Amino acid sequence: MKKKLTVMLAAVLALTAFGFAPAFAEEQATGQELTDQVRSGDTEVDARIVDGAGEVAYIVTVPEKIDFGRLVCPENDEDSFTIQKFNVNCVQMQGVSGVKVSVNNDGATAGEKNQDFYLSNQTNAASTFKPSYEVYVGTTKIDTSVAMPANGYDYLVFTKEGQSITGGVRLNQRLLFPYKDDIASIAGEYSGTMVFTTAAILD
Amino acid sequence: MKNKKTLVLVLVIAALCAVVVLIKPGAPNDDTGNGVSGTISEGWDPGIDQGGVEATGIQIPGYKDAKMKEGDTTLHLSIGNPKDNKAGFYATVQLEDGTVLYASSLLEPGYGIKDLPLKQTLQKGTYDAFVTFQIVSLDEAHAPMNTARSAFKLYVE
Repeated sequence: MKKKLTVMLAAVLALTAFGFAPAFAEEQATGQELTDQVRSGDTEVDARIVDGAGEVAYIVTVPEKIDFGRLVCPENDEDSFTIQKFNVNCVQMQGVSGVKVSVNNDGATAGEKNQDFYLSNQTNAASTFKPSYEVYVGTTKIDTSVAMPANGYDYLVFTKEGQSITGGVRLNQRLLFPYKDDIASIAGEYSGTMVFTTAAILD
Repeated sequence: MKNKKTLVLVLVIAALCAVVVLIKPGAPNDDTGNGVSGTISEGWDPGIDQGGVEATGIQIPGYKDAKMKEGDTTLHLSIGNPKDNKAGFYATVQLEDGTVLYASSLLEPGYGIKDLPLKQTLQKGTYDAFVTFQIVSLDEAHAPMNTARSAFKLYVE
């Protein structure tokens, strides 16, 4: 009998040593029990006052992608624009006086001029043909000839929730005309990435 | 005979130990794939009333600031993918100098995380930081689309 008890005790001690506490053990509450003899006790109370730090202050919507579809080479060397419109909206704003939206082409360099928006051939990485396109806020074209600010070219500023602006992108298919007799050399799927940067404006 | 009984007893106890180990609940651990774990959960709520504003496009959360203490390994910053979106996000938190503090696994619509396990601690100071949302398609290809960045001030006290 003694031997059995010894073995069982050893096993329990081994379990404890390796931290294998029973999964169904109840957690014991900590703290001091109040009794007639102990009329006060220390209780630690934690409270987190939410000051908004780390919480969502606004929500804006941006286009998930820009798709020009199938590009068509014009018959003559003349302008032939294809346009895609999109909306940027301020869905909600809280605790800030505004939201500034900027935009740039992925990979653009802050402080440098002529950081144009362009498409790249995803089918043929060696292709050097990178058709550029213009970005509009309403009817105003973003001027990429100037040095790009740190967060991208200024797009718009929202001052209250519910505001929306229709902008767009425009590509001139005339860029394909030099390749008219050898379209196969630039054939492929083209795509580009726009980067929208938002920043809260405080009072 | 006694030795046999003792042996059986020891084996039974060992078997019980094995069962205990197997049924003990493990801590949730969603590996972000970047060597840092954190819990991404469903039901992420941006915490602000959207007021019934209908809008096309992809909803992107933005922030004013975030705070932490020097040496903290966790940052309270509620990042997630609003449930009405039709695309996925890969979210990265980084400083202006490119230092990456956190990188998420795919955030499907409705999923997010509020307390980020950091890749490194920071010294006291005020930092310009960004949450970068790489928008991707929800199909198997997870094709990259546009990118959105939310700039905010990170205060380390």
